[in-house]
Amino acid sequence: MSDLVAPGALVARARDGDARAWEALVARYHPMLWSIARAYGLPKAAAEDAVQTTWLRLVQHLGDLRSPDAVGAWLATTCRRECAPLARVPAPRDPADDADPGPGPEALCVERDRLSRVAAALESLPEPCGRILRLLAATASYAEVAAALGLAPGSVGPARARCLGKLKAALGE
Amino acid sequence: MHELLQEIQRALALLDPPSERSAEAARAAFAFRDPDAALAELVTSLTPAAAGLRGAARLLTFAAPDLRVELEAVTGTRRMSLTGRLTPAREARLTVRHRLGETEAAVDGSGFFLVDGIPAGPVMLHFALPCGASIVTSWTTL
Repeated sequence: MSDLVAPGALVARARDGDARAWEALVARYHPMLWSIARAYGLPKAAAEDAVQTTWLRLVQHLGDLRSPDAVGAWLATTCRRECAPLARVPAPRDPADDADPGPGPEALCVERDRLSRVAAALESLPEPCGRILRLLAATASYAEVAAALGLAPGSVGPARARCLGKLKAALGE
Repeated sequence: MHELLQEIQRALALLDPPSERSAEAARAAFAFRDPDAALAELVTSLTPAAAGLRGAARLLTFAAPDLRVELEAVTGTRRMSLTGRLTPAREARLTVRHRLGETEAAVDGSGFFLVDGIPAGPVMLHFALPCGASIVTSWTTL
């Protein structure tokens, strides 16, 4: 449902107290905000705080957003301002951070192995490439990626192609 | 979506999904909707180099058109103490909202307040004025 309703309409309904509209906004943008916080290298607890603060700020500003349809970019900008001061160079992944792979059929292991290599290649990319690709994969629009990373909106498209090329190279493809 | 981006999406969903706690907090944020309160935005935040260490202070200023809230957050071993001043000075009932719930305190006639035992994380101050109006600060991660 949430993908069919304009974000501005969800903002207006949430402003008027519609909790379902709020949940639709969370469903649409929460994965993007989580990706922003993690792309800035925040550990889980700090990422949880930054993303929660971002949502709490939106609650306070539901009534006065200048462009309610651009609420995604507003959230991305707000989250960046929370995360950037805390950003650190991503450390090597803590294996304890990863979900337990558990036993599984052969196909699952092959898929997991491939995805682990993609994730490792992603982390090996120079920034902002890793961040750009993470956000695009979290279905952020070019405007939202630009807002999240403080880039010029026109630069995201060209960067996408360049960064995908680098990722392919890192994967040896 | 590009095939590689789809793989990144699956990799992140598998290796680094948003925590359930953070999704729950995002949904719960709506309960703090308070459309009638005046909003005091964060205008300055001074973090001395030693901030984050025990005993380190962080100085914040929030401003609304005719009001300021000055706040000093001092980190203890586990919790923070907040001292501050509301200007122009006035009495008020202060409720500090944070990750574990709410903590109440009084603002005295000179606008001064002191609250202990606040957990680190998102924090917001709600001032209920005697006239019935209320003022909230923007949420800030302390």
